[in-house]
Amino acid sequence: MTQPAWLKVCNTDDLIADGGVCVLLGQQQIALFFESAKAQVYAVSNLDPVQGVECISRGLMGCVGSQVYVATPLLKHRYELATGQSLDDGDLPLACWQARILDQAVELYTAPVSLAEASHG
Amino acid sequence: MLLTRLAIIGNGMVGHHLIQTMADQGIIDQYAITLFCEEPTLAYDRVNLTKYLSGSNADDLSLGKMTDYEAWGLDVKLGVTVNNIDLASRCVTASDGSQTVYDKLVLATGSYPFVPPVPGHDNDACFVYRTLADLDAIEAASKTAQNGVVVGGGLLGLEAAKALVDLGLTTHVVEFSDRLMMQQLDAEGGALLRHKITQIGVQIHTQKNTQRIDLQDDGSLNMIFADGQQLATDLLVFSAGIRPRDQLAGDAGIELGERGGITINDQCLTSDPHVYAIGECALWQGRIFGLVAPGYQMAKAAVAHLQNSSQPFTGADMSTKLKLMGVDVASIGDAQGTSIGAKSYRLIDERSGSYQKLVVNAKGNKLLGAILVGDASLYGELLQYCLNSLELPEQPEMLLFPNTGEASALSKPTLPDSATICACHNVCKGDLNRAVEMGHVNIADVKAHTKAATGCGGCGPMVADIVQAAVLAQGGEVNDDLCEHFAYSRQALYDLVRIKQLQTFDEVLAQYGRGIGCEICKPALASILASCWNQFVLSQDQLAQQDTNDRFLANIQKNGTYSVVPRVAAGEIKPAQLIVLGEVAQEFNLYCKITGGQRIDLLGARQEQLPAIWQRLIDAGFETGQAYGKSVRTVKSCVGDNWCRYGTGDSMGLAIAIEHRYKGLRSPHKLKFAVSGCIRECAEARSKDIGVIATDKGWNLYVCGNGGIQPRHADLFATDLDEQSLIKYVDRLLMFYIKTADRLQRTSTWLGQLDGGLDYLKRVVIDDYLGLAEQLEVQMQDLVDGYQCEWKATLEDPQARARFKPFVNSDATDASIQMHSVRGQTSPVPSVPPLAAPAPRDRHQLINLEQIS
Repeated sequence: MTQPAWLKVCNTDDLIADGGVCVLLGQQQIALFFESAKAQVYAVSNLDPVQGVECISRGLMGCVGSQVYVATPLLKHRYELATGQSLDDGDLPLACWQARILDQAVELYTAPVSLAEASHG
Repeated sequence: MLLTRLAIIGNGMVGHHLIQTMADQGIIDQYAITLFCEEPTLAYDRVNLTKYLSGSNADDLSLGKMTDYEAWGLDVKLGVTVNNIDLASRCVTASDGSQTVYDKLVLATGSYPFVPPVPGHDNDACFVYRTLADLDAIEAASKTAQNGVVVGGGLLGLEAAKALVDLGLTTHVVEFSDRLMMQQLDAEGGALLRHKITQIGVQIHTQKNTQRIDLQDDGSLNMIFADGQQLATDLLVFSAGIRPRDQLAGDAGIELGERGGITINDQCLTSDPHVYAIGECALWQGRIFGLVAPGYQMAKAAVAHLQNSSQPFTGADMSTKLKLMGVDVASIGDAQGTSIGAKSYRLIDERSGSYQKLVVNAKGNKLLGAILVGDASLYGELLQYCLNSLELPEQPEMLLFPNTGEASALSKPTLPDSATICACHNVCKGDLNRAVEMGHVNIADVKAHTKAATGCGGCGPMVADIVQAAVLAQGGEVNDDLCEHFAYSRQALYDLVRIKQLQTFDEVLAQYGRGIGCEICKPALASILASCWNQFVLSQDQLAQQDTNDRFLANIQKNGTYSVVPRVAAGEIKPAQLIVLGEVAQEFNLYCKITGGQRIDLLGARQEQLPAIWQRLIDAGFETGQAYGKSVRTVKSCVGDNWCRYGTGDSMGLAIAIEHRYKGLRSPHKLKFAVSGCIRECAEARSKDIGVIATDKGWNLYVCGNGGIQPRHADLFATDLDEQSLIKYVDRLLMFYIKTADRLQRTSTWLGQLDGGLDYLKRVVIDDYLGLAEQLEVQMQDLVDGYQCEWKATLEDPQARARFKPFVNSDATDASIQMHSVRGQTSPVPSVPPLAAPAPRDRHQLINLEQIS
């Protein structure tokens, strides 16, 4: 079993300020959100657990106080980006990854996967 | 339990109120009720009868619902008159031959219009104004008429005159006395009202005693007055007062007053201990009450007595506030100042055209009455002083200058809890406070719970103030902030964006907001910015504020794919364009559906396919249909007089022109239009935000209708317009809506919340009451001139186009989207949400932050 490590998934140019984009790692779709004021990048599963649709990256970013969240595009369910927890009662959490920006690279902390389909942009 | 057999004769507003009161009190199932309703419909709102001719239909006005009545177990005899009451055997004989035995009987027979017995009063072209059937008859006769006369210059007469104006007739009012609204106004008030109504084009003739009405050879009428003058007219409406319908009671042997009316006591019992009378047929202490509020109180008194309790009728306040042809008129208490020692203060403002009069007692510390013409904004406050005998300020005249500081305004918290706020439904301030304590913290809830401000609506502003104060007193908050990031209403933000020339969400957030925004304020501000400056919505600095539909310029569907709807203005489409749509759908395997807005929806496009699909469509001459935006959607149309043998106007031509004028306009909510080429209304224009219907003289404009959860017919706004005026009014109205509406508020709810409602909107748009008209037109013209097809702009911008790729690190397509075939077309495979296992974490040993921190 290989250990997880930091993996570059895209460049900072690919991000949208205070919005979301999506990267593909193997078959896994991961939504990346960028909070411009803190230069903070968040990585959560792109799969809407209520609707069963890969669409989280197309949601709107918002905040309640200091909690930064994404509101899903289909039914506006809210998930905190730092933890993946639902802010609305009853929804399952989003899986989430540690993410960081190093120079111009956006990196996720994950096990190595086949990146055959995931050529870097 | 043995049910009490209750017979009710009459189902007007008061008769209905009796039944509604019993239902509300939960006692209706203790009675076996037989209801005799002479008219072919159940109770309707007679107070607002004129609206029947200006856009409302019978359903809008209806009060009694057959489904309710049946659910309450009533035996309803519709269209049946009672011929005879036998008090001895307690039996009612009706026109359908039925005989009904009662334990208790309620007479709610109402009144009939008084028609002066002058020769010729019974001509075919003479009408009265009382029932829906009367209005239908007047409307039918108006089709061939140029002008009309109303006999009677009182409250009802002026209402009738309004109806004739709405029907497009040159209207005259003939009044016996020396002034209008003799009962409610004094000479100055009457003169001002006359002046204002004359300005609208209604001709007033006072001190005219009609001697006879001659029928002319052409079917028209000629009125001859006592002073020798004459007046020719095509039709005539008598509205010279009402008389109680007491004959049935009188024939049965029930005691009547000397000049008519069924005598009742404080419990509303007649001379027969088993028979009650309520409403305009009833005579209490020698008085007939010709308003609905006292009738309601009588109904409550009768219900209380039926239940062996007591809520006596003790007379009623006859104060009234109404809007007559756009003129505010109010009269309170002893308006004429006939009380002994009464003194008055009078303020005549000839510039703005208003008249205000206070009548005070000799000591000058109590308000006895008031008259307000032209501006009735003080009504609620003055009524409180009068009804509750509140101590007047040192200088009572200062009440007429409410914005000048100390002597101003009765502070609402100082009103006693017993103060009657809503006279129509007898709701006092304490009732409102209790409703707030029960948890009804917004005004709409309180209105629904207490019924306050749902009668004449005159107390609406006062109710709002009291509710607001009560909520604040409870430590609650009444605010219209957009969201936690902006402590401003949408309207305030719109004004700030305009005035400060703010161009981006970040600028607005930096200057007026906090945090990073949210899914509420981001799209709302994106919409405001688009309504103000018409920028390209997919520019870099706007991208993150756009809801997914605007970000991808397409409507997201449940499986994450999008729909494509090109503009097909007014549903007119060339064969070659139809072929292109078919080819594109086939090539990209899209599901096809004709929409309700007369265009074609292509569904199932993946986000990365959208640019290629639109390239094909734009090359073929299509442009974006903006079905995805809170913006102008379509203008639905019938084929109009080009093809239709009934058509009276070129609805296609106008619909296409309108659609091209307003396409791309972003607004607080979606906007739907329709144009019908004749009165048959095939385009269903009256269910739209803006509806236009051809007449033989031009176009009728209807506004603020919609389908949706709460369907609402559009209101008639202006009649027989030429195209230029029509466009001018629509320009102003839409920009005023964009300027003042809340986010996601359709025009119908917006109109519902506008203080002053439709009349106010007409004053702003037609009469330019706020002096905004030119500005609104200029702003709209800017938006029209700045229109660009968003899809064309997107395709020309490589950066924007690149944003349609599903993954920033891969050219792969989204493999999770699964389609199958249904009825020969593509359709989403229903998704199975991973309700049990949240995410495939184990496969990649993905680390949940909670685990590592």
